[in-house]
Amino acid sequence: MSQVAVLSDYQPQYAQSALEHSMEVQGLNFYYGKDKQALYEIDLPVYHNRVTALIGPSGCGKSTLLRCMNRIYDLYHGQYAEGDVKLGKQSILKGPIDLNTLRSKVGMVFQKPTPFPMTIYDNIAFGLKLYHRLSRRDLDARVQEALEKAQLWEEVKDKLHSEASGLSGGQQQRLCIARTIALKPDVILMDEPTSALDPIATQGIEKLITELRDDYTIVIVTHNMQQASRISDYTGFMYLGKLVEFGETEKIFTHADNEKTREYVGGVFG
Amino acid sequence: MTRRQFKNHVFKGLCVAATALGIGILLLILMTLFQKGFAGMNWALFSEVTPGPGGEGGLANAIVGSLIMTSLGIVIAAPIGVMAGTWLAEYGRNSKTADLIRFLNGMLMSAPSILIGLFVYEMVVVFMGHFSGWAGAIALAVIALPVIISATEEMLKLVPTSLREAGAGLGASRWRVTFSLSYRAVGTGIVTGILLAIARISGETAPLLFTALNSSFMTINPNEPMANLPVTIYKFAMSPYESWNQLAWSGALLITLAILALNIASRILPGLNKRRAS
Repeated sequence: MSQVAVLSDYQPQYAQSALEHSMEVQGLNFYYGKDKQALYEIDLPVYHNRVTALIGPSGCGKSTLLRCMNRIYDLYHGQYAEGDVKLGKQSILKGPIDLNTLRSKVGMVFQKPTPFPMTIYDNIAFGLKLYHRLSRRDLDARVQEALEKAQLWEEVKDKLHSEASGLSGGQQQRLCIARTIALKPDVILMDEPTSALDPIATQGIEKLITELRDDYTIVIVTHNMQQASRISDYTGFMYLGKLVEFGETEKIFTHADNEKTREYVGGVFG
Repeated sequence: MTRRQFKNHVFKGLCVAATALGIGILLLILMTLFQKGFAGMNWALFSEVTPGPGGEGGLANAIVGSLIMTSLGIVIAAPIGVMAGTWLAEYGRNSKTADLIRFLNGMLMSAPSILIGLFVYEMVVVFMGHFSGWAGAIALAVIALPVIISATEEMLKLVPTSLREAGAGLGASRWRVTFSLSYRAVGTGIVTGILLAIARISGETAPLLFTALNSSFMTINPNEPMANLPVTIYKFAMSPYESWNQLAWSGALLITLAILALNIASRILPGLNKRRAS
């Protein structure tokens, strides 16, 4: 259990400069099997309390990169990564670490809303109960806090104990975000969180992301360039498993250094 | 009529005839069963034990024996079956061991039940030195086991990957995801599998012949030989005594009704869950 202790030693220091790294990807190579390399030598900083967007055409590796940052790929036999990914100062690839603790610190929101087959309340309480022994009252408070932060409280406060599957798609996705932030993670990874939602619900999620930025570090994968330009501070453009260019979002979208990046954001290919 | 239409009509006609034949025979069996079975339905059937040759009585001891052995059998088979199915679906999945277990499980499922009876006779009856309700229950458990294993595995395979990833993404361990999310998502399906396994074993005769044997007395002690419906039906139906024949019909009707009820329950259950979820 010593690994657990090492991870929990990591305390973000909010007072420091805005450009402190929450996470850092260093020389990352990823393989879906022995001869199926998907990522090549990725270097990516993830700045504290900023939104970092990953864009690029389908199959460029942006979701794969995201899945390295909480090691969710570990669920599958044969997938492995080389290089390093750091959470604070702690390497999450090298040396033994407790994956469950890692994932409670680096939360993930998926493409399709995945409410658990239980009530709205229990959906939020599920993660909390894994890590905290809370009294009923404290648990109630944490559930409410998470739902409020995810801007869902007003809509569900009268039906907390009905099944989560009865919510609309947009509400379900906000529930999934609430479930993630209930654990107060350091970083939230979002894998195309609006691609299964209608425009109105998408707008709601985007607004939520900009508001969450004050408290959380967010990495979002999106194939919607407008979305990236609207909500992110930094953008990384990926192509064929490589990080072609990384920089401030405004720069990437207006005067990127790389020819390929300019073509992609200009809509020449996609 | 073109040649193609003619061929179509002939084939369709053959299909309809084959279906009608199957359903017709089934109806005939059921009609005879209901007619003859209901004739013997009375209170004594449930309150009195099996009579001596030619005498009057009921099936109380056989009903109780069957209930006890079926329950014990399921109590033994369900936890093992659900756990084995869980291992196949969640942990072993693509391993060679899992493939081997699936293959053996398929063999066990189609093994003649009399073989299982003989196996348990050698393992349990010979070891204990006498026939017993335990031996019968174990034989029934061996028959129920493969049904429960494959039902559990099939159900867990329906759990979407996204649900497992969402659970793991919150930092839940694998067993926590399995217990709190996967079982919850497909629990009724697993229970349905268990109900179907009960239906399957409640009519089994061969495995009980060598294990529980039979008994003319009322007993609830599984250490003794135990009366049961299938073997009683087998014995009474072959006898020359009219009262025994009548009891056999009534017993057969009881089992049929029980299996019918189990099958209906297994149909209704998943629907109930869906309604609750939406």
